[in-house]
Amino acid sequence: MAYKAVIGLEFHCEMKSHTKVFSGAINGFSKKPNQLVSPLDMGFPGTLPVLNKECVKKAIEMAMILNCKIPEYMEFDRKNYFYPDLPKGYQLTQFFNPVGTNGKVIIEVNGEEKEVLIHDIHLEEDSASLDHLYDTSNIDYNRSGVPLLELVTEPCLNSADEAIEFLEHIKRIYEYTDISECDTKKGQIRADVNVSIMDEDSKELGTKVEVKNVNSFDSIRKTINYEIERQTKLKESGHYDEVVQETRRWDDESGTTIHMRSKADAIDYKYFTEPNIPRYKITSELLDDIRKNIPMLAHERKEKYINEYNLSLYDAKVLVKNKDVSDYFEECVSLGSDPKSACNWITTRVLAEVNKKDDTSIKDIFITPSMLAELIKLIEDKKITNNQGKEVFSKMLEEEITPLEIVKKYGMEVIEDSNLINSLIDEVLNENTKAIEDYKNGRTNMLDYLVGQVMRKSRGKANPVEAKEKLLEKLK
Amino acid sequence: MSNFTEEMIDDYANKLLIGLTLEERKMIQQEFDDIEHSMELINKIDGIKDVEPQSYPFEMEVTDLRSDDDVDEEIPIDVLLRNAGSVDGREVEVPKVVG
Repeated sequence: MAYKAVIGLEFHCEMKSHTKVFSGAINGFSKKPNQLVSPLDMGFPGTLPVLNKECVKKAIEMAMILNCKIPEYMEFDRKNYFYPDLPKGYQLTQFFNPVGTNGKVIIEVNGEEKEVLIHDIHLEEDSASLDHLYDTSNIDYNRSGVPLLELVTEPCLNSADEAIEFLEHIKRIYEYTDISECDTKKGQIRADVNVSIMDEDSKELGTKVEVKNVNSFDSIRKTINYEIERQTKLKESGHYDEVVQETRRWDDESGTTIHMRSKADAIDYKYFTEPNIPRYKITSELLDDIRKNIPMLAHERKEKYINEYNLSLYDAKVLVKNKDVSDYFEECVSLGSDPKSACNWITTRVLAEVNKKDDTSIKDIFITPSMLAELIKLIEDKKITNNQGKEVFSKMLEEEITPLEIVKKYGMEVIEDSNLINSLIDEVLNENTKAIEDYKNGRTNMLDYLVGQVMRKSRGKANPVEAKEKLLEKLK
Repeated sequence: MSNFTEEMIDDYANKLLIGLTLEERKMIQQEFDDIEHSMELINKIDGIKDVEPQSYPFEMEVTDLRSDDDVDEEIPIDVLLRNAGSVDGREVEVPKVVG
């Protein structure tokens, strides 16, 4: 019996801003506990939340990109629950009137288009973080009040591949718009994953299981696949009644999901509108201003690379996968590099260097876009050969100096003196009479051998195209 | 005679994930009675039934918000933690909660 998986996602992402969403404390990452904290973030009585305009603008921008309906007013609600990571006793979120509702995005999964429906996206504050010790828990409020965007999909995804492709798509939007860095190492993304299975030909949804706080794309994929397999096994063995509406958590160590609480234990959050934050009118002027400042997104850059620069779909996808890589490529092109040459260097040599070490970005390597553009220009101007270009590239990384400095230091300039090349060719022809004879008897590959000999004698500094042309002339 | 039973108050406390001592339960019951009494007084105001419930104390909206560039100064850690019952280094310490 074939079953269809039905998956819905709730994707939380910490936003990038100077200050927190309701206080003026710095929104940043600090290893020092309780350094980036205002009295409001600790829930001191008498403090009042004041909404950050930048966070509102970015939240609206994201809602626009997701083709959501945007409300007339920005409003917040209290989600009440009692836990030490929440000093006020409630989280400020948007429950009744989120910043975006009823959106949709088109993603590409294994070469096919898939429409993903967005239930809503809302702006909220993050909680403090807890360290659990032997018999105490310690509270660090640095994260308390950090702006979060929570995106909720409809249950319209049907596989782990679709879910991950969707999340990659959203992550790229966040990165390209600078709304978030989406850095998993800083705990900036978290997802709640809802999974159920149903008979392929049925219209009735199965029992939904929610897996909370999964914090990497790899774990999200494993969670979905594990839940589909667990529920399928129970269904096939006639024990589907054991699949109950419950909240589970992903356990990385065992590679399984573990029961947290059942539906009966679900918390009643007693939502009500936050009276301390007056409604903020979202004017048409503000919407126009935000709309016209939406930057070119990954899929738009991909189209540009294919249509304007004649790059292959594969290369364009490699370049736009990461915004820093795409920015690096764009800078090379803006500095005058031929897009195809820049693409070739980046997708091979540059990314190979970046991928050598974990946690390295293209921004971390010594070779900047202007240096790569300089190297490409040296080759295009025939100052150095392609092979020398590869050598220069390696030496730039080793010695951390510019392409021109490498070329000068190692005397790599291509020999432009025709007389010198002619005399090297004559030497080669005198020393290789057998090869010449073979060439004249039809072994045309001997020409490449002779070019190689000229290159060897010039220590790679002869222009191979020029050497070949001159050799052909002399062999006539 | 209170309209709020001990069972009702324990149920509310459970829903909020808190446990109450007998003394606290009694105090809350008294507070609930006081609130209910105040509600009854409000309900006696003429025409109160025609007043729509409000989420905000005033019918107002804002058109300007805080600039993201207005950064607060860092608060010295001893000042920040002065009200905490127990601290461990730079952090507030509480009895262990399940993670």
